[in-house]
Parts: sequence; C-alpha cells; structure tokens
Amino acid sequence: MRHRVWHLRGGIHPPEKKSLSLSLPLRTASLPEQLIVPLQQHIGAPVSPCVAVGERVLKGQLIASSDKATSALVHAPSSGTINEIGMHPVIHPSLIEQPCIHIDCDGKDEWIDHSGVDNYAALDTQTLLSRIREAGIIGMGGAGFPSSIKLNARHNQIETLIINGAECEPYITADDILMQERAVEIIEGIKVIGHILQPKEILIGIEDNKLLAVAALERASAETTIDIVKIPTKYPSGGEKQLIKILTGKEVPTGGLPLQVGVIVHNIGTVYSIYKAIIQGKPCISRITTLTGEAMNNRGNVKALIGTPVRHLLKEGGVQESQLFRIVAGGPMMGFTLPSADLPISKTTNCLIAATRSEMPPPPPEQTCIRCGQCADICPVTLLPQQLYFFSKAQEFDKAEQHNIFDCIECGACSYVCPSHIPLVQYYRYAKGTIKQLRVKEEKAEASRQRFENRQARLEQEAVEKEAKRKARAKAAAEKAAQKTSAEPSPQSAQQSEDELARLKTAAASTAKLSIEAKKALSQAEKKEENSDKLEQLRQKVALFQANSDKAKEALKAARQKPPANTPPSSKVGEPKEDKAILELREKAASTQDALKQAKKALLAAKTSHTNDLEAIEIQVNQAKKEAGAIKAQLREALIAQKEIPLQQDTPAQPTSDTVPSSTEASDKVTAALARNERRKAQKALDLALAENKSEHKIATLRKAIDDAGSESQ
Amino acid sequence: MALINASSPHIAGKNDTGQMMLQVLLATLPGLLALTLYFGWGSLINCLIAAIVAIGCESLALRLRKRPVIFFINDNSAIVTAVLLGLALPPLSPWWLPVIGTAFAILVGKHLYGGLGNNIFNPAMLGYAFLLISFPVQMTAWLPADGIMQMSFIETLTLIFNNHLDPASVAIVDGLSGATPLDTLKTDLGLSKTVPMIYELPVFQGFLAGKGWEWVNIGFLIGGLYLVYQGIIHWQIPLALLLTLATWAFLFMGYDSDRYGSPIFHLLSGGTMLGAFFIATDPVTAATSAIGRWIYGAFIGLTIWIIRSFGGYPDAVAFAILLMNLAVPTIDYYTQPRSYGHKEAKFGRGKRER
Repeated sequence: MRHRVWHLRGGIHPPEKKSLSLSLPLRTASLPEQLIVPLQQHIGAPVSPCVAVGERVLKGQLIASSDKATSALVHAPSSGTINEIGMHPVIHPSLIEQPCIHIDCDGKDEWIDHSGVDNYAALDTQTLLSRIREAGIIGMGGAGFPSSIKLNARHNQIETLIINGAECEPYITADDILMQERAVEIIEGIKVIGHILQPKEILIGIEDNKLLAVAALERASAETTIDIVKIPTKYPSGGEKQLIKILTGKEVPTGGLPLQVGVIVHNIGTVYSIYKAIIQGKPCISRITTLTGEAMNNRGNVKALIGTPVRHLLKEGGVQESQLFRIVAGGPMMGFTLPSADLPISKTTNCLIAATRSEMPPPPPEQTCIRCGQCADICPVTLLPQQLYFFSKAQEFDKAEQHNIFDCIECGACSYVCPSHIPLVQYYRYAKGTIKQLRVKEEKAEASRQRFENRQARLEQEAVEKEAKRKARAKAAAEKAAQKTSAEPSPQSAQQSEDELARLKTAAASTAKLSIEAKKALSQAEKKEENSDKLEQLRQKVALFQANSDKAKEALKAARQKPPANTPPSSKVGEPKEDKAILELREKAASTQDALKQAKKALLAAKTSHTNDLEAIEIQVNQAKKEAGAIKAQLREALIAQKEIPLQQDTPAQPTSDTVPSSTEASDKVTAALARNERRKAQKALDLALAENKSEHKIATLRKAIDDAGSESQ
Repeated sequence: MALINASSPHIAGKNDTGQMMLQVLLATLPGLLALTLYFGWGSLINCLIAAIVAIGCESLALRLRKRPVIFFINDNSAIVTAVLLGLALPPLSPWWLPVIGTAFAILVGKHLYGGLGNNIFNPAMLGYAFLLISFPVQMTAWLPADGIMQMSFIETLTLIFNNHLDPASVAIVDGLSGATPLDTLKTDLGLSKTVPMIYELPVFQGFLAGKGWEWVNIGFLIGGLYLVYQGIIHWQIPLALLLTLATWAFLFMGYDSDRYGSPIFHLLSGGTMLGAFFIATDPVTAATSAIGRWIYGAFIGLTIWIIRSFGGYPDAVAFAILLMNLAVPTIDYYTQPRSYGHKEAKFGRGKRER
C-alpha cells in the first residue's frame, strides 16, 4: 500500500545541480596534517576539554566533555598529539571564533579500544540513549541538536518516526549517496531508533529525484515495516515542519515542537551515526560532505573527519583557485558564505560549494517592491512576505510580529522568486534580531522595575517597624521614669522640665506655621488684588501671628538655656557613658560595614556586567565580611564589659536590683539584639532572592539562616 | 582568492520586474490590434505619444527625487502606465489629451506618492479620471467601429495634431465621432426606449455585443489569459470582477430585461476586459492575499455595474478601480491568510500582545 502524500503549499523548483556531485562514488578524504576540532558544534551547553596540550590521543578518544545533558561530547577524529587548545574561527553564520582543539595527526589513524553491541534490542532505552550521548551525536542535517535528547521521549508519545531523506536543497547529495551506498546500515540505524522510540509507524521521506536511493532502501528494508515514501521534488520539502506536513498532514503548532503532534524527525546522516555508535561502538568523528560547485574539478562526496580544514577538502575536490568566487557551507538556498578556507568542518557541514562568479554572481541591486505577490504564492508557511518586507523596512515590528514573522523558516524561496531582487530573508533576519533585542531590553526593564518596587516595599516596612520600636522604647522609658519617680522625686522635675520644653517646641512650631500661612494668604491676596479692607485685615493677622510666633520662640530659647533642674545622678546610669575604646570600636565597625557594603555592591555590578574577575571580588567580599564580623564581636564584648562596670558601681546606689538588668541579662539582650539584626538582614536577602528568582538551593539556605538567627534571638 | 560574503540564498530565479512589464506590454497587443482594425491608427498613436511623455516625465521626476534615472527607467513601469492610458483614450483625441493625462499620471499619480510601489491609486486610471472630468467632450468623442481604416497613418497623425487648431480637422473629427454602445444604451434608455429596441441600432450589430467593441474586449481577454498563464497576474481578481459583473447584470436582466443590459453586453463593452486583466490587477494598487483579491475584484465588478446602470458616466471601470484602490489597505489587513502551524488566520491590525 502506498503511503499518502499531502500537498505542500508553495515551494520552488530551483535548478537541482545534484548531478554535479553524483558522478563519482563515495570516497574517503585524505588525512590532513592537522585537525581543528570545534568544541561547540551543537546547540546546547558548552563542553570543556579533558585533554592537555602535548598529550597523545587516539582516534575516537574523548577530548571534550560536560555533565550537562544538552551538551554533545567531542572525540578525537584521528590519532595524534594535542598541539593547541584555543579560539579559532569556525563555520558559523556569524563568523565567530570558538574554542577548538588542534590535533597534529600522526598519520597512524590508530583507534582507541571500542566495541559495539551485537544485540541492541537486549539493552534498555536508557543504556542506548547514554551510548548515543557518549558518541557525541547531534542532528547532522544542520540543526545540531543533541540526538540523545531528541530521542528521549515518553513511552508511547511518538506516533510517527520520520527519517528525513528529502535533501531538497540544490547541489547537496550527501544523504543521497549515503542512502545509495549504506542502505543496510541506515535501515539498521532506523531499527535502533525504532527500538528506542517504539513509534506506531516509521516513514522515510525521499524526494522523487533520488530513485537510486529509494531503490537501495527498498531492497534493504524489504523485511521490515519501514515505509519508504516518495515525495514530489520541491524546495523546501526537506524542512522538518514541511516534511511532517507532507508525510502526515499534521502541522507543528507555531513555536512548538514536532513532539507535540507525536512526530519525531531524524536526518539520514544522524541515523547512520547512530548505527555506527551502537553497532560498531564508534563515536561521531566523521561525516559525509558534498564537494561541489563549478570551481571544482573533482566533485563528489567524501567521508571527511570532523575538524578537517575546508582548504584541505577544496584541494580534495580539485578546486581551481582562479575560478573560485565564493565558498558556501551548506546549500545555495540556506547555506552561508565562508570568509576564508581555513575553517574546520563540523558535524553539521553537509556541503561545500566552490562557486564561480557566473554560477553565483553577486546579487543585483535591489529594485522597488511592486507587490506582485509571487513571494506570497511560493511561501511554504503561507506568510505574506511582501507585507513582512514593508513592515521590516519601516521598522513596524509589532505589525511584522502580527504577520507571523517568527514563523518564517528563512528558506529563501521568496528572495529566489522576487523579480525586484530584494534580499527579503535579510530583512526578516534583521527584523527578528531587532525584535529579540527589544524583548531582552523590555525584560531587563521589567526586572529592574520589580526590584525597585520590592526595595520600596522593604523600606516602607522597615520604616513602620522602626516607628513601632521607637514607640515601644518611648513607652518603656516612660514606665521606667514613672517607677523612678516613685523612688526619687528629682527625676520628676527633670521630666517636667522636659515636658515643658516639648510643649514650648510644639507651640513655637505651630505659631510659626500659622504665621507662614497668614503670610502666604496675604501674598496671594496681593497678587489677586483683593480690596484694601481685606488686605488690611490680612496684614493685621500676619503681624499678630508673627508676634505670637516670636514670643513662642523666645520662650523656647529661654527654656533651653535654663539648665535642667536637679539632674539626677541616676539618669546617667540609664544611659551608660561610652568610653573612648567603645567609640573607636563603633567607628571601626561602621567603616568595615561600609567596606562590606561597597564590596557587595561591586560584586552585584560585576555579576550584572558579566566581568571575569568575579572570583576576586567575591574573595574581597568574604574578607570584608570576616573583618566586619570580628569588629562586631569585639564591639559586643566591649559593650557587655562596659555594662557590667557601671552596673557594679551603681549597684549600691540602686535601692531595688530588679529594676536594673543584671550583667548576664544585659549581655543576653545585646546578643539578642544583634541576632535580631542578623535575622532581619537574612530576611532581606531572602526577599531579594525571591524577587530575582534565585535557585531553590540558595533560597533554602537563606531560609535556614533566618531560622537560625530567629532561634538565636529568642 | 577574493571570496565574497553574501547572505543566503546564493542563487536567484529568472524573474525580473522589467521583463514582467514587457510581458504586460506584449499582452496588450491583441487588444491594440482589434482597436486598430476597428477604429484606425489613433489608439497606437495615442500609446506612442503617451509612452514618450511617460519616459520624459519619469526621468524628470527621478532626477528631481535624486534617484538613478536609467536604473529605474529600466523597470518599464512608466511605459506600461502610458500604454494602458493610451488604450483607454478615444482614437482621434487631440495630441494634448494623452500628454496631459500621462504627465498627470506619472508626476502626480506615481511620483508624488513616492514612486513605483508606493502609489495608492493606479496612475493610468488616475490620469484617465482626471481627463474625463476635465475634458469630457474630447474624452467621449469615440468613433463608430468602421470605416476608419480607410484613413492612412499619416492622415490620422495629422488629424490628431491639428484637432484643436484647424477648424476643418475639428469638423472631420466631429463628423466621424459617435456614441459607443455603452453611451448609446445610457442615452436611449433615457429616451424611454427599451433595451431590445436599442439592441436593434447599428452600433449593436456585432457578433455578440457592440460592433467592434466585442473584439477589442476579446483581444484584451486573450492577452489577459496569457498573463495569467505566465503567472504575471493572479487569476482571482479578473475572475471575481467578471463573475460579479455578469451575475448582477444577469439578475437585473431577469428582473427587468427592458431596462438592464445583458451579461454578455456588460462583459464585452467598454473597458471591461482591459480593466479586469490589465488595470485591476496592477499589483501595486491591488489587494495582496488570495481572499483579499476575491473581495477586491468582486467589489470592482459590482461598482462597475452600479455606475454603468445608474451613474452619470457611460463607463465606470476607472472610477470603480480607483474607489477600490482606496479600500486595499483595509482589505489587506483583514485578509491575512492562515500561516503554517496556526489554528486560524490572524485578524486585523497588529497590536503587541502583553
């Protein structure tokens, strides 16, 4: 029974140019003198080298690894000596440099011990997945996503496993040749994946311009339930989402994953790598790369080691340097130009095109868009490219987003058909990039707004608490004073004089206020040119208030100058005089506290600006903390000691001992106060951490600190 | 080796705006041939005058706007505008009619809006409407569809250039000119004749509809189908336009066949086919999504029928198209197609979701 093929909307038929590289069988590229192995060939967490410069490595030996699940391990593609570990330009659309391990090949190509499994079906899924992860396999169709993650689906989650053999880009024949020459191995690889995923059906989608590949796979899969589906040749039917639509009629929801519609897609190259990893025990250290383009004489497909310099492969393909005009990594529709031939190939480099000028001429100047709509006719995602172009050009990004710019797969079909030669994809990349930047900015602004609001709330809370404490203290003092009044008469008069002073102060303030208000009213009335009667009235009022205010002020002044009546000696006992040593300690404590604060600030700034000397600053902060802690401890002891001395002196003068705290009680109080202080700080830190979504661990630690501080303070 | 750095895609198709415009010009030939056969050399001369003026005005405007002149002239869009206007003018109209019309179309209709791609209104139709309002006498002086071929190219040229100066020439043109079938229908219905009676008049003695006019329209239909076949225009607009026009004509003919023209008459009279295939489909001013094109075409068809049946002007293609040009931005906003992976099409203008 033939599997149904759904219609893919749009698409184009550019000249295939595949025969350029199909005249010769698959061959192995010669061993280069040096391999430059990029460490970040995948999408995901970075890996770090686990070998040292000067070390000899064997073919297949692990040279860079990581514990993170989303990282892809890197192995030595051939035996030799590690010559250098450092930054090197790599094949990347942004022409960036990445860490690479340089291996001087010794020419022996000596394998490390390795062994595959005879019966993979006996192994459980996790074992197979970890083997795939250990082999460093990533999606070799171009995405470079670690395969072990993609394969780690829930049981019964996958309805359809699709093997992508469409290879719709012109020029590229790497998957085609692999299917023709390694059909048996590919079917074995598919069986391994099928064993892991247990899908209901397995489909291989192949464009109908690759009949040899179809025939080879059909022969190899005769005994299996794998369905080989011929699909109409059309670009971009090999796009993941497009192939899913063609083979299942399902559409991957926007912004979602194929998994959501029960589908998983793997590329032919990936399948072959999985076969090698499981059955032969070999890690992913080579790939099939198409060498093509009219500037090459010896075009074809080669099995090339990862890290082989492009220059070496161009030579392998017999490049005519005089004819060479541009080098494209990948296909002519979605690939990117290389700035030089000295870059190493990675696990996703499926094609190198050495093009002549006439083959891929420089783009003609951009004409005006006449909205002919040809781009909309061929868009495989059913966008309106001409509208997106206008919105991108006019920086109307909200409209571009509303017109689904983020669903654009950048297949380039619109640019291809545009009669005005507008580089549409470039406009969309620009718009997408700018929108993403704006979003990051907005998020940052939102985060700082949140932080500010949290801080405001905290400050308010603190102010309320302070006020409450102050009131409590005042109450306690009043009670104390009342007690003392019963014991001695003298403090009362002091209290009275103080009350008098407070009353005078209030009177002075209120009369001053009245006078100011009257003045204001007067000046307003003058401005408004009120009638003279009213003005006169106001003037009188002002004079009166002014006089009152002056009187009150004088009274206050007099009261202040008067020495406090019968200052009792015991009042000094209540506020122990601090000796010089304690004052010094206090100052010191304050300054160290300041230093600590500043260090912490620096740390925060460093963290937000991602500077490298984070560690140094952290050390500084810790030191400052230690110092501050030591000074505080000293201060605490000194305070306790000082409390003890005056208390001992004053004890005989005190008629009742229970009104004054004993020495141990005092020290306890100080400790409790300090602990409370600690607790408050910890609470603050926790609030901050919660607001900034810190890790669970950190929050838990902070909570514990609060509890500790709380129990101490009780 | 000097390697160039370029963005993908690295290959391009053969489409070219200038070539597309030439295809449009090529597609006007059957219609122009029919016009020449029935109405003489006048239309061809109109087109030539208009084309020369268009190139001149385009160059001037580009220079004033400090744009590369040769590069933009080569997109051939000015010539297309000129030819479409020339085809719509009466064959023996005085030379200054295409000159003024084209200058207005290019300078005001096109460049004042920002040049090719930015104009809201179809420039040719804007020029035509301007002429029709300003010079109604010259603009309605059509010829009967016969006899003119006896006049040689030179004679026609002389008439066109002397039309307003030499009383003898004016007299000749006046003597020659007569009402078009659309005109006749409108006038004679006003004289309380019935449609069947009007159809007996000589001007209606064609094969299917008005004499000569039917062939002009069939010529433009053939050219239009060629453009559809070549993928230069989309089929939705002409089909929607013609279907709507025919449907309304059919319905009202059924309601009162004495007062309303037949569908065949409407489809093969005046500028119907020229408008449907060459003017309404002008990509710059037409709706851009598939559904949008249906709506746009249908409303033009309806408007043509309404103005023809009840309006003051005999033909209505220019006004119908200009009116719908205004609606295009709105139509485009509300007819976004459903993109891959979306449950339904988005509706209306974009607002950033929060």
